[in-house]
Amino acid sequence: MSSASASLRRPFSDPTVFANAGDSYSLAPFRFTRIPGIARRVLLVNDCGEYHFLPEDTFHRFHTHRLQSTEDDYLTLRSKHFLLDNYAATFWPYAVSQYRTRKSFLEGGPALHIVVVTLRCDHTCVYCQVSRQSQSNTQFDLSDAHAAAVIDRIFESKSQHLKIEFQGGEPLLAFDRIRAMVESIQRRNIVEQRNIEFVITSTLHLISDAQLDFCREHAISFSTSLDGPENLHNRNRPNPNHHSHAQTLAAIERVRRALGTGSVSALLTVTRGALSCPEAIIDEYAQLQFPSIFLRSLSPYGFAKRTHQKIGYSAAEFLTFYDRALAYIVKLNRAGTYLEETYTRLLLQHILTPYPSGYVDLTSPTGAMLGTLVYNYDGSVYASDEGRMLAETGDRMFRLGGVDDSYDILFSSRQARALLDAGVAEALPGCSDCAFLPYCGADPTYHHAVQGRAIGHRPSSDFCRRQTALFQRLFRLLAQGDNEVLPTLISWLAPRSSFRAQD
Amino acid sequence: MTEDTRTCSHRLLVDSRCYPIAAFHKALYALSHLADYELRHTEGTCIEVTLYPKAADVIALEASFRQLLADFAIQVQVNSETAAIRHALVTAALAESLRSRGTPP
Repeated sequence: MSSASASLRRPFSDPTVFANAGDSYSLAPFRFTRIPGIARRVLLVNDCGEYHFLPEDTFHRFHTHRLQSTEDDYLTLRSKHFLLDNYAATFWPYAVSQYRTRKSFLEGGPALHIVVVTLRCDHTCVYCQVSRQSQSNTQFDLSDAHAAAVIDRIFESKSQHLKIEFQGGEPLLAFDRIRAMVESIQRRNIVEQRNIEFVITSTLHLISDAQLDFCREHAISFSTSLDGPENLHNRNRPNPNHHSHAQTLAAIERVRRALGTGSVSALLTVTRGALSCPEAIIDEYAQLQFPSIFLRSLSPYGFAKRTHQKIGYSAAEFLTFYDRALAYIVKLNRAGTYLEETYTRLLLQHILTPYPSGYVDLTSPTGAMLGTLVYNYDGSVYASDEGRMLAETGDRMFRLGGVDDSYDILFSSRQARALLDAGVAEALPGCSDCAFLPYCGADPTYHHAVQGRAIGHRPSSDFCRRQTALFQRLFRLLAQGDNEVLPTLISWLAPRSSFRAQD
Repeated sequence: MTEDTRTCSHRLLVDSRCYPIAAFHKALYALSHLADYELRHTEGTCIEVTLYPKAADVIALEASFRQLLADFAIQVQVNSETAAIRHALVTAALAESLRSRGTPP
């Protein structure tokens, strides 16, 4: 028999060819846990973010170097960088590349720049985290000098992609400032050649035709707040004429007509009043044809902390709401309505791909400061929006400096060092051995605000409790090879068409 | 396990030859929202663990402690065995980034 015919009969080499001489291997770093509801299997996750479930006995044979190189699990563990053997040469380039990709958000410097152009606002939202000012109080607007310095700081970042988000208060009350900054940034970008995205976070109620024309001309998109059906939205976000919900819907429609359907995204804040009606909230988003809904829990920052007793809830209550909401979203998707839940999508992206989302709460080292900077109306620079909210109640823990300070000064400030000390999950008690660490973050701002220490105490942290529960739910689905829910969730990872101002 | 009803504490003796001390620290830290605790080396090879439960079911608490202790013993061993590889992995990844991007921001 010729060698050619032999290879045709058996296209793959015998497994013994790949057997490791002497069956000796080294472990690569990994963490492990058990998932409630998945009996007798152990979840292993390595630093590259690869995961694998092993039966309990196989797990013990693996970590005690007794796994045979001909076993399927051995080959899978090798291909996923859980062990090194004679094929170690293939381990390094792939494992290093994956790890580097996971941490690539560190490479360019801050990409998200939040500019608070004014504290003036026409709403009195129940969960407002900042000290809103009346519409005529212009002393709470960003000055010319500070605006110029903000632009210098933005371009000091080496990130090729810059997202510049104008916030308030109600930023449309200071639209002249936005207009001047956008024009100045675009002039400067003729030389800088960055990819710049502009977003205005607004209730949209005050938007004028002239403002819409400017936004169309400069490809500016909007982010607005929509808390669900009329009674809930009006209760959470009252304005003087008590028609906040109707005005929001009308404004969304008006912006869409002017700038295109993808020009407005909406954000939900889950208050206690929302816990009992997730379906109604989701129906509202679906009817308005939003492609996504972000089930955000209430922020315990700034002035919102004071109202937490009235509108807040426990992590367990939120998780009950989340389960019910996610089940309903999946049901809608399976019936043909595309609507993604953004947080689940972010978590799955972290689990199933090596690409970081850049979402501040889910990065380690912390995305506050390293991925985001916030420029307040008074010229202060904060590590994150949450840091700014805390400052409004007198806690300046996350104030890095002023807009006239260069990055060298801001990034080497005492506050910056304190933030980094508490912002690397790999070095934090409770996180350092957590199997979900490669997908999660440290969130020092949350822990400082809630527990009084940026390092935090993970066993009693609601953030940790919520994250752990959500990861467990997703890994349970992955372990079970679920054929109903999982395909829907994974479909959210496929890239969708992005916003085009002219569509 | 012995129980002291006067102080509401529960005492366990664990053979320290089976588990590294770091595993005790990690297991007890993970349960620190449910119980306060004391660790004490005794004569011989045992470590005495005294748990002061805050509210939890003591039987469940002890079971959790034993499971966590066993798991953290494995984790500590894996961490120790793989420390050099983890160090090399992080160093190589960051070095590549610096090479391709120039100086950090």
